[in-house]
Amino acid sequence: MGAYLIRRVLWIIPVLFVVSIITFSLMHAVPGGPWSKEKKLPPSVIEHLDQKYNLDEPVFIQYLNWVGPLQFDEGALQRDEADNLVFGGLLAGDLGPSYKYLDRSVNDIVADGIWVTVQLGLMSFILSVIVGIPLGVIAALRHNGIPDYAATFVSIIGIATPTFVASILLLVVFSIALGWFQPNSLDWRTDPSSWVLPVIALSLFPIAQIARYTRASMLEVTRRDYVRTAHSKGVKEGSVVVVHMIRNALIPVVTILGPLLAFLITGSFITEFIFSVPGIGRYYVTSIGQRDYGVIMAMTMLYAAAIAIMNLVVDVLYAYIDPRIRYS
Amino acid sequence: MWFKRVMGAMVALTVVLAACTADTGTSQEPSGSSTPSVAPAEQVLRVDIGGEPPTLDPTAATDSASIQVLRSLTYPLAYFDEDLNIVPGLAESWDVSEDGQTITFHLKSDLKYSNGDPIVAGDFVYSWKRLIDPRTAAGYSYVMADVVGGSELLGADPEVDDIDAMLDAFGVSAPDDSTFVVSLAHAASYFVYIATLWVTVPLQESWTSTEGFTEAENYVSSGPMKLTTWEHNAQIVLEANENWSAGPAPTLERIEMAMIADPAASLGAYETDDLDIGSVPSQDVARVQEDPELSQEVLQGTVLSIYYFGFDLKDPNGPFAQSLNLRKAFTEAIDRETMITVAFGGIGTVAYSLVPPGMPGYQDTKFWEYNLEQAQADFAAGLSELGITAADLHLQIGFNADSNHENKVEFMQGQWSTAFGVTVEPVSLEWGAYLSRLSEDPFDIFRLGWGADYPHPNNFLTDLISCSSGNNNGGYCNEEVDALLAEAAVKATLDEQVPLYNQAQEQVMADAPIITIRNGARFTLIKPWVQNLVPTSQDSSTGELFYSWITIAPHEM
Amino acid sequence: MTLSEESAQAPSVVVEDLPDSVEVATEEGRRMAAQLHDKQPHAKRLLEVRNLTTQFFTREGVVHAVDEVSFDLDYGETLGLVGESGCGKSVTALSLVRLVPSPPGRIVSGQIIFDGVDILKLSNAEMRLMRGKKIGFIFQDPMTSLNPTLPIGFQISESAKLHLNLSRRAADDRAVELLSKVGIPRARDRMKDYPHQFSGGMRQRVMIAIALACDPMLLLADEPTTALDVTIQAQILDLIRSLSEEFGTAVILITHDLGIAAGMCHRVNVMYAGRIAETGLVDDVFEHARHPYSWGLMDSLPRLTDARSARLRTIEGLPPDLLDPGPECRFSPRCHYVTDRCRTAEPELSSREGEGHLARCFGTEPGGWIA
Ligand SMILES: Nc1ncnc2c1ncn2[C@@H]1O[C@H](COP(=O)(O)OP(=O)(O)OP(=O)(O)O)[C@@H](O)[C@H]1O
Ligand code: SF4
Ligand SMILES: [Mg+2]
Repeated sequence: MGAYLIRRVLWIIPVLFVVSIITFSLMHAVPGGPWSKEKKLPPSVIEHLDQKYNLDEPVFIQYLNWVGPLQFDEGALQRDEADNLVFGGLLAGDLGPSYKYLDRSVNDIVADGIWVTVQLGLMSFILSVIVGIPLGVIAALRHNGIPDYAATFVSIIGIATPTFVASILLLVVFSIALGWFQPNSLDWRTDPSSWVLPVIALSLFPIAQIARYTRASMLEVTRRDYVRTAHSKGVKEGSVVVVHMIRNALIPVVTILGPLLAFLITGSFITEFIFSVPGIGRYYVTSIGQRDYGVIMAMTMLYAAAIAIMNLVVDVLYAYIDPRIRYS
Repeated sequence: MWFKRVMGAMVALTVVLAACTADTGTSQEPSGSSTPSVAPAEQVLRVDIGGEPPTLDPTAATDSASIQVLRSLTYPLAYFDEDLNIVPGLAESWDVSEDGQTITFHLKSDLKYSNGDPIVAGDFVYSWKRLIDPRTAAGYSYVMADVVGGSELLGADPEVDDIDAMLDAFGVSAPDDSTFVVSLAHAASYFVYIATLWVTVPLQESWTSTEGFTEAENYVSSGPMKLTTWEHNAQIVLEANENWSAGPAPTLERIEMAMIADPAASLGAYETDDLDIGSVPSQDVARVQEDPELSQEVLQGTVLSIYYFGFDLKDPNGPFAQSLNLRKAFTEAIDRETMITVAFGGIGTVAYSLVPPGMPGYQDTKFWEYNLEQAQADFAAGLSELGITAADLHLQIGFNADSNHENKVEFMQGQWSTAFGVTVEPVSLEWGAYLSRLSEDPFDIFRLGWGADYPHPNNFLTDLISCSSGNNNGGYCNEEVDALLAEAAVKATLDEQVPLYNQAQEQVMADAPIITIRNGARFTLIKPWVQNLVPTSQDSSTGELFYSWITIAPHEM
Repeated sequence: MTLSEESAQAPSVVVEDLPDSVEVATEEGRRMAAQLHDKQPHAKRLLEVRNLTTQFFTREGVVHAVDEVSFDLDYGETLGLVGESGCGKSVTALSLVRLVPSPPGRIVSGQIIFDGVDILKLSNAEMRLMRGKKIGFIFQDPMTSLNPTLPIGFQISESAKLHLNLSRRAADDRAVELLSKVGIPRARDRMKDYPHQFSGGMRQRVMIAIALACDPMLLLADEPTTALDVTIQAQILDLIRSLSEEFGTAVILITHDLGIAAGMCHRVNVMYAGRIAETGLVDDVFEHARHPYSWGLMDSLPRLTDARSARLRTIEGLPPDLLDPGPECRFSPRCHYVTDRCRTAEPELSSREGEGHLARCFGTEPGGWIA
């Protein structure tokens, strides 16, 4: 298992490497640049900006500089001579400058927001799991009963309602009409009520998703022979469900949890946008429109790493839940 | 906040109860003593800046969110009054030399930064050199082009040229601490407007060379407010700068700036009394107008901006480059009055000229009007000029995909289709790609907008439509117009300049290089307790030029 | 009847030594609780099944899976249940422990008296006390009948913990003992292993250990060897036989395999289309069958005694539709001896030569047309 884990973790490196090359070339291939504005900057200013940010180099040199700390273009890397921005590169833990937030490095931006985003994602994840799984279980146990229809109804709504619709609805109803929560909280760190609506908004889809998978999986498990065996032993209804069914039913559900967690941790863009959550999710989409190359790269790498790690976690969790799976 | 709201409700309740008992009571107490006293309101203004400002470095800022903050944090040599007339700012006065090429600013005495250091003329020298320095790569460096050495620095390559030497030759100097002298390469009457920009404010070298100097703990302000909190992506708080003496002391104690990205959420925050000034997304305009309460709080006004469609004149073989009649036809076929109602929700007014109303040099002339018959005649003339039929026209109209332009484009397509029976194909691109397409190979007809950097016709003519302007995406170029603009630039007073600018505009409009559609309008909500708010047509956020002098009337919350 | 009268009639009692303090709510339940922990006979027979009728209410209609089935089983006796696929063997066995999948299945009528207790009158909770404790069940497919995510030690000790009130440690010891009894080497080491670490035959041994964990009075074995290869089959059957003899457990053995039935059972029920076609001592049924269907079943077997693995011969024609059985003899469409009489009425089970030998056929009744 240990060797397996190390191997898997090491595998993430080439994956990220490939992702970074693809993203880097794509993003430079797309027309437009960080300095395109409706009110255009004079060409000389754009030239100066390109020089300052080393955008005047060939793309592969820019990539090497981004990976760093390989000193390829000495001139460009001496800040004192030409006052260009010099940064250590990814390998030195330096994600470079932001092309939009001029006062700040990408490291600053990420450091500021990532914990808020991760916290939001984790809270939503936990909520999704502790609501979604029981919902699915109950629906399956009361198959074709009122709880099943209710849960199915909730699932369909959760899946069919886009997150932004749900977010706006929650905002309009609970913040604006009822005034229970502030529409823009300014104290995310100190006021727990700030998190309520965004966490719920972000959880609706995953709850529905998890509930649906759990229900289907539970129904499937109900028909399994080993469940009949458990009944034939006289095991109580509740224990049959808890001891014999849920664990088996969760195996397929776990498969979706990894990507879901990665999605929640990195993909809360809309929710962050609507509820003014000071996380990094907002940057994920805006940076692309703004051609904020540094932020685009950072977000992509974070997202890719999150997915890779979550998949690894899922595989490990798999082995934990399903004894038939062993890694070596 | 919960607590605040509950307390607010309790206070309100108490007031109502008190009023009731007073009404039904039989006692004849003097009214003065029974009036429930409402505590004086906290002088705090709460606004939304729509997102994290990209920078609070005055030299680097180019966007509206940053400028909205910087207007209170900085103060330039010259400022505006409520009618956008130029008035002294940090400078008490300035003299323009006979030849119009030297401007000497005399600073007010005892000026201080928020950190207590004196503001000296040398700080302007440093700040202006920092702005033009190609190594800074400031977006607005080009506003220094008229200063001696400015255009050379703009074109310099820091890897080749001796920038330091060039900066030494740059035409700014400080003979003493209170005198700042600017030498211009040629007379530029509008230059004093440059001295109102946030990019020309004084900066201490010792400050800007501090690591993280724009963070709240380091920030040195020259304006009426100082930066006390910058929680990235969450909020900015400004407080009155007690060291500031360049004008009347700020009446606000604090400005709280939220960063609400979603316009609907922002309006929601206004409706729940969490903001004092609210902006209204277009889809909510009708609702706000019908709402008995909100409609009372609407503030409308003009904004110095235009929404326009340009013709591609870059491609000499394009139909519009070849035929003025065709350009005229396509302009006359648009019923802009109806378009404002249908496609803009009735907000704003038709732009009949380039220079918008409210700006010096505005001409109240309808250069082109809706005239279907004339349009059809011109269209026929255009076609025969080109020797083609309507079927030979394969036209594209381009716009950026991301923000509500479809319905405008559709409207225009419809009008052209009825007038000429031609179908203009709509093409939308993502913003960045759209802009880069415009500079390389613009669509036959393309959408853009333009807003004032400073309230002077130069900004709407020279900067937008002269041959050399980088913003002239359509590639319109008329030597005559450029000559008039150059002539206007060296005239000393506005009175002398305006006739020249008018002539230039008349010529431009006659050439019909763009279809001016609409002048911008503000549709803002202002809480009744916000007093002394001064909106100007220069604001991109209502009242931003004079935030500091707003007062908050007592009110219940 | 008011609510208070009802509760006065059937007071809820918590019987002290019931393992999970189940409330015993019915008359039958009290009887059952009293007998739960001893293996003394409390009735003339271990099992008396009378007119058991189990139906599935499906979209296509009502499936008469088990129709008016009656039979007896003595203490310690082994009974074979044979018949074509789909004739209702499994549903009969599941009905005995009330595990017919529901919906769509339901025991519609009949009586099941187990050791003097009327099983169909027990509450669900009371019924649970019977399962595993008094009646063990071995299912056909050992590959799927064990829970893949639980160690086999847990799966064996679970019912011991539940029914015998054993501590975890004592239950584990019991599981180890059972594992060695069913022939799993290094039993204690294997307690923590999961089903996938065992072969098919080993798993069926584990199933047997589970079924016998509480020393039941009746073992229901539904085709316990069908999924196994021939040599393993013999081992498992020997194991069931020796253990049932050792514990004095009665067995109902369901099988396709007449050889197995002949070798293992005292008595055998031949089922056809949800009904018993013939029943009797093994020798009577196999040597002197009195039903054309039984003949059909055995036709192809050259010598029963050494044909342990011989499968039922397929009989010409399709098994009848259990959805809508007519008033005729259910075997008549496939019977060589059919007459008009067979098509108008269905024969009753009636005596034939031999102890308890019954058959359902007009033709072999005294004076019938079949010799
Ligand atoms: N869950 C169910 N739903 C509907 N019908 C069922 C169900 N289970 C069994 N049946 C029907 O009941 C009848 C008896 O089935 P049963 O399983 O008892 O047959 P069997 O004799 O055990 O056959 P096999 O030898 O194939 O195991 C069959 O016709 C079957 O179609
Ligand atoms: S009753 Fe008739 S049809 Fe039925 S088994 Fe006997 S002979 Fe055959
Ligand atoms: Mg069966």
